Amino acid sequence: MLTTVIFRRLLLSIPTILGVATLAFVLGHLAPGDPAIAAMGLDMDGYTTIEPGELERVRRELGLDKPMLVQYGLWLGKALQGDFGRSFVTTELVAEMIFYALPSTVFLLLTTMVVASIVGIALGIISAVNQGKTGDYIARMIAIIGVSTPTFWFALVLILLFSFAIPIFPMNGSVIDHGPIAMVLPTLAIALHPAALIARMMRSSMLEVLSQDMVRTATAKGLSRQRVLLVHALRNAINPVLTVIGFQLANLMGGAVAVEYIFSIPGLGSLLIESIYEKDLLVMQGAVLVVGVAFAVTNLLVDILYLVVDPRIRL
Amino acid sequence: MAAIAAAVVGGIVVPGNVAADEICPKRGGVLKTVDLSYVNIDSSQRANPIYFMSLIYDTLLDVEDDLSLAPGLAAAMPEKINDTTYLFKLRTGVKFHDGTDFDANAVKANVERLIKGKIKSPYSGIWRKFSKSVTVVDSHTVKFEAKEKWPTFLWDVATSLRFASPTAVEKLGKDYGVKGAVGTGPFVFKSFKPKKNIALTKNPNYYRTGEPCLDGFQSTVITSGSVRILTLKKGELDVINTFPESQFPQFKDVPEIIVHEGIASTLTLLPLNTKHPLLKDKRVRQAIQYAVSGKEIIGNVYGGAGAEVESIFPPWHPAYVKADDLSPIRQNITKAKALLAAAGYGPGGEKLVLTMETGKGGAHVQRGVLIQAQLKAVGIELKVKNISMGQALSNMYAGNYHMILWQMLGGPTIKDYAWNMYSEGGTNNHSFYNKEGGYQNPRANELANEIAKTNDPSAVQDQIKELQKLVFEDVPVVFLNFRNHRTARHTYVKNFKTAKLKGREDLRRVWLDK
Repeated sequence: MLTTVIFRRLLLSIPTILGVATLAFVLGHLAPGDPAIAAMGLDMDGYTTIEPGELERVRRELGLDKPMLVQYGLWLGKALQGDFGRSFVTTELVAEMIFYALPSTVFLLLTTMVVASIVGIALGIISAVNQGKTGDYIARMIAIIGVSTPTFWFALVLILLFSFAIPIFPMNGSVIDHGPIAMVLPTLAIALHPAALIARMMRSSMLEVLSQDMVRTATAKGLSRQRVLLVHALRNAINPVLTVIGFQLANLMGGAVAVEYIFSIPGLGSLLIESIYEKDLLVMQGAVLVVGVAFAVTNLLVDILYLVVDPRIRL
Repeated sequence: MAAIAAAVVGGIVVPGNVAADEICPKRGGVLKTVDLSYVNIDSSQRANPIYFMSLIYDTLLDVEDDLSLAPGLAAAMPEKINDTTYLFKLRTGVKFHDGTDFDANAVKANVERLIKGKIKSPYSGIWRKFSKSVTVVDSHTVKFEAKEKWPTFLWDVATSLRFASPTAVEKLGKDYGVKGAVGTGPFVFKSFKPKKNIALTKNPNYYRTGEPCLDGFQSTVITSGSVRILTLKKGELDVINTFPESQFPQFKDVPEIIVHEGIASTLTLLPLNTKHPLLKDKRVRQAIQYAVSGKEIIGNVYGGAGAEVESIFPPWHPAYVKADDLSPIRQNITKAKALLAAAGYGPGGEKLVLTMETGKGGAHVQRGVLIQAQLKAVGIELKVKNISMGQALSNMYAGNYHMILWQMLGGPTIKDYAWNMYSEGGTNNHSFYNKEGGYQNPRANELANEIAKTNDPSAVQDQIKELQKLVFEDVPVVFLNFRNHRTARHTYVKNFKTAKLKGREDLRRVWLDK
């Protein structure tokens, strides 16, 4: 049954990914700006100027003079074979750029989700179990602060505190240069917001489950408080939290862009943003495609997790 | 001609009769710096800062501290045969980092590569426009012939023509400039990741024997201005040359860091699209110029680090002539309002609504807000659009804009600040002044063309003064100010001189006292 679900979801992912690819291509071309300008290394300081006709020449060389449909067909055909072309700006192979950037982002997002899930679920349970008591107020206050603190600002505060005032962690978040320790501050910076959201969801879901008869029954049967909470209540309360975690993975990409910028992490978020600014079309299209595939895979994994946690669910 | 005489001192040959120890009292160490972005290290790519390109590559002519030119890979200054022909004698015994010879064939190959557009460089166009041929006379003599008189030829040779090993270029193909770069410069390619970092090691066979003092150079891209400064203060960087003025107070009371202020090198201005119906009327353009105050921007945004405009040329420029009458480019609210009223705007007339495009980030936003307030004071509603630089440039080339907040960092040639900006053929003439469809002033066009025929300011002093007067009167661009550039470094970084032009620091004699 699980295999059938996976196969069906994989088939459904194909039009989604194709849709993402088409959207990336169309939006990339519709966005204002001229890729030839970035390709020529021009910038706003006006130090260098170009002779008339130079931009047209570069556009021709980049294949941007061809009809849109032809450009799309050529790009998609090659992309399906793993050839995303070369960056207009740096002339690197796009596939290599993505391959270089992807591990940092994946590692960052995964560690963030693990930290956010553990902290969020724990806070939510503490809050629910101590409803109306000091523990609940403290946990809810932490959650409110987490939801309302901008990631960008929190990242700078973490740097000031733990890289500069008490120099424990590096300012640069590159794992390649500093090892896994470099991921601590970026992870904390991004994890605060999803952890708070997970905590709030966990609390309300847990409160609902704790008021159900089956919890009273389990308690009456003489099961320990710990077992009632962590086995019976948690298992029933976790599904809505899993949905939040699934959505958060997608949302985290936004936070990752800011954090990659501040910590100079060579990740997919910064690659994508830079390519949009510079209108480096092939990089932008390639990166969006990879992100699209990553989201499709993530959603599939979340669905599988639902089935594992609660086999009553039919997808 | 600054011929380099070699002298042998303690077994080390050094140029210019300077003892090796005088050049580098201490040798070794790796200079760590930072920048915003390194895109590609092909030989004639546009690079900012430019100095990191000159670490790998050399040019035929070096740009000295005072912006004069001196022989680099050329054995001497070139022999000018006529207005369109120059003969360069090359230094002998110079080798690329891959061991191949730097010779006349290498010069020819590099020029042809640039002209053929094999490098996506903004410099290709000027070489394609002017260069007729490059002839190998003998193994170390090259003849450059131009199609027409090329007044800025020597400056263009010194700034846009760097030499890559033809063997390496062929070997690396499309990956040249990303996976490798081979020049004759003081440092050898070690590793490079575009937009991330670069590492270079000392070239032990550098033709200027005794240089460089450093064992290596490393630079990392740190995009956040605040983090760049913190990293410098923490000691993980030795020098930075790009940081927001608003962060300047962070260096106060930090004795181990020296902040050096360069000269006012960057002209900040607002090109006005004179093709646009709203800006065709000279009175409207004059009103905008009268409404703004460049001085206020210097005080509020640059922390005082700048200079008011007194000429179409920057104060350091050889062609700088202070205008007799500066009133047309100084704030005068009363005049601005009167001009707008005469043009049919303001009380009783239409409301003038304009859009200004500018880049993103601190100074761009701050300047935008100030200019918006200044124009509001005379009744102009200004919408500020903070967009990407590429997008702004694209709009500018297409003529699809009202005004753009623009920076101009030209070289010491007269052409950069005169012909390029105000003539019908000017490549930096974004206001379309004297271009088809733009505001026409035939006399200004004639003067700009006349000035471009020479690179000797004294020969065209009167023409410069007259052009300056006409430009101030016609207002194709609104002059704001000249912006200083700064560098910040630890006190142990010695012999680091902030260049006159931003990013042109010469690191060959920089040494570390630690």
